[in-house]
Amino acid sequence: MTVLALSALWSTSVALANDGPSPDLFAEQSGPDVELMLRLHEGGEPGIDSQLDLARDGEPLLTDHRFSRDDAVASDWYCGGGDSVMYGPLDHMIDCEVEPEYCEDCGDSDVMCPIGGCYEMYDIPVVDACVPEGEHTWTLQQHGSSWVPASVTLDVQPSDEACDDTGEGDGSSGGCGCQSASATPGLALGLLMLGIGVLARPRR
Amino acid sequence: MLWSWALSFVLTLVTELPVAAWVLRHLPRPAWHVPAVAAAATGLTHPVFWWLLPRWFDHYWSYIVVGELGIIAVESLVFLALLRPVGWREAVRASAWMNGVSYLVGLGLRHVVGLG
Repeated sequence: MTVLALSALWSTSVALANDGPSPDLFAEQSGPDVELMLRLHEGGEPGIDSQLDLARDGEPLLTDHRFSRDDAVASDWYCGGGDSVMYGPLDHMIDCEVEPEYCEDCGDSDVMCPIGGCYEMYDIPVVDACVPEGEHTWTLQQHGSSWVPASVTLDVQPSDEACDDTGEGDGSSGGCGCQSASATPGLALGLLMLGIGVLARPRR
Repeated sequence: MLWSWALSFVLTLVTELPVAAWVLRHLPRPAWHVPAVAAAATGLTHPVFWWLLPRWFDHYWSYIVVGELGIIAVESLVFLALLRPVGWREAVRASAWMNGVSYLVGLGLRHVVGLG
């Protein structure tokens, strides 16, 4: 019973301590294209270091894609790091305006966070070229997860500008469908685990 | 994300505990003991797999394969330590069956109803 209680405490603690900020997704029409802006956080769930899937109306635009900090057109600081940072050695949430001695200036940016809690967030543009008129929904999620932490819907209007879907530029425009999420490796892994179970059968 | 993890954790427990109870049904222990230890083992490994491990891998399948095999190893050790007189083969067998079944169930749910 003690082990079970400790296990429950452990799993809850790890989950709460690592529940980072979700990404944001913005969309704006530009002629026949839609310019998406992904805001990804350092330490986010999913974040800048995650493998991501980006889709329009369920159709993949980017699959299992990891962005680089160099892809960002802007970055800013935010306070993260979970409760252990936000509470520090105190028994209450740190307010940096009231208790600056427990805080630091993130990268000399005038953004004050509890010590150890400075994290960066990045704005990364992605162009979805030649989007048909009508209402569309873009979703961003961690590869392999069904949870959709960010989505945006835009009613795309007809455009007089010519559509040029060459896929040039940042390499992320258009529906590339780069790497489909096949179930075959997963099936093989599941069967491998069952195989280990069979092979480990005790000798009588 | 927290809700997503909690749902995955509950689904994992619902799948794995009966498997553990069935594989280790011959152990001379109270009926609740094996599921309780299996729940503790899953509670130990599942949050690490979900929250921490993705940070250490660049490639999705490396993360999944190493993570699942690591879970089998760790949970086997938990069974060895807490479910005596279980042998190491039985411990590995129980853990491998638990995780194999729950992984395949999760895979099926993801493709059938979009869960997982």
